[in-house]
Formats: sequence, C-alpha cells, structure tokens
Amino acid sequence: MNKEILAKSTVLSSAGIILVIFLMTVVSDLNAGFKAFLTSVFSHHWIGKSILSIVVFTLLLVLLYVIKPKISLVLSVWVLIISAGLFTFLTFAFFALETFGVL
Amino acid sequence: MSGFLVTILVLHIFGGLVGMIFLTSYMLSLLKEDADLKKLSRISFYALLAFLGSWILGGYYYLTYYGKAVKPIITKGDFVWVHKIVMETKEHVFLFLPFLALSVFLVTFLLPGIMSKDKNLKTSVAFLAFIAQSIALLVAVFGIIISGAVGK
Repeated sequence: MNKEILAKSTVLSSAGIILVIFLMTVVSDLNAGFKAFLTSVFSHHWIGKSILSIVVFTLLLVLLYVIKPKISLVLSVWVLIISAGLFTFLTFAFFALETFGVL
Repeated sequence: MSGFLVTILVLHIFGGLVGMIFLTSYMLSLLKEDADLKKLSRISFYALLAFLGSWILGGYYYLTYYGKAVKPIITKGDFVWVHKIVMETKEHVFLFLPFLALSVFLVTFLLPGIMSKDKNLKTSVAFLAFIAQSIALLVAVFGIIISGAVGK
C-alpha cells in the first residue's frame, strides 16, 4: 500500500464528495422526482444523501487510488479547502436565493 | 420531548463541540516547530469520532423529532426563513465535516515523516483543520438560531 497515494486519494475524494453532496442537495430541492426517489429507496431524503455520500466517497477513493493522481498532496489539500469553503457558501446562497424567490 | 430525545439532542451538540475543540487543538499544535504528530494523529481521530457520533445522533433527532415537532412550529411562525435557509444549510453542510475530519486524520496518521519535514504540507493541513472547525462553528451557530426561532 502506497501511503502517500492513499492520503492524496482520500483528500481528493473528500473534495469530490463535497461537490456531489452539493449537487444532490440542489437537485433534490429543485427536482421532486429525485427527492421522491431518495425517500422511496432510503425512507428519507437526508438518509439517502448520507448513505450515497459514503458509497460515492468509497468508490471515488478506490478509483483515485488506482488512477494515482499526479497532482501534489499539498495542492490536493488546497483543492479540498477551497471546495469546502466554496460549497458551504454556495449551499447557503442557494437556499437564501430560493427563499427570497430569486431562483 | 422525551428524556431520551433530550439526551440525544444534547449529545449531538456535545459531539460537534468536542470535534471543534479537538480540531482547534490540532491546528494550534500542528503549527508548533516540534509538533508531536503521533499525538496529533490521535487528536484528529477523536475529532473524526466526535463528528461521526454527532452525525448519527443529530440524524436520529432530525428524523424522529425535528420534522414532526419543530419544523411545523418554525414554519407557522414569523421566522420561516430560519427553516428554509438556516436549517436546510445546516443539515447539508454538516455532511461535509466527517470527510474533512477523515482527511485531516489520514494525512497525519499515514504521513507523519513527510509532514514533519514539509512546512507547506503542515500549513495546508492546519488550514484544512481551520476550515473544518469554522464550518462546525457555523453549524453550531445555526443550531442556536434554530433553537431561538422555536421559542419565538
């Protein structure tokens, strides 16, 4: 096991899963069909997002470990930092804009 | 609300706060010249466990009580936006935290040798811990706003 590639794959998978969680959040809010699908399969849309985030994270982790990403670990960590900050802001902005009727 | 649910509610808040404290401790200790990475690996693992615990307990409270008893009170009052913006953001942004804490832990646990020599890596991981604890703080503040909206 290559520890550096595993660490890098974990960091990049985390950045990826934050994007996926944001997309699931927006799509389930705008598309009643997707929300109903999550509810029917997982009993509640939030449980669906939680379970899917773990499953997709695991798949991303395995995929990235096999691919062996070429970017440095330091850059990967900065990608995750930006992803976390950006999608936290965008999630808040999305619900604020939707509430005030902009979306 | 039953005593059991009150306990769950308090423990989920406690888990989030403990996770924040561990991440803050991690960040400040990592920036020291002679940072003990073995100890920091343990601290980041405790932060991960705290957020995982808060995820499960908070999720249980949200699914069994919030939607049935708290949401109707907020949405019938003057602070509907608290549910629509604050709660919706909180319940989704919280999902980022276990993955951020896992990344901090695994980098520290797997690569103590590289981290002790690479100042850029130490700085970036310290900043990662900072952004994770900032999001946790935001989630905690959102929780206070939601509690305030129920009482009004």
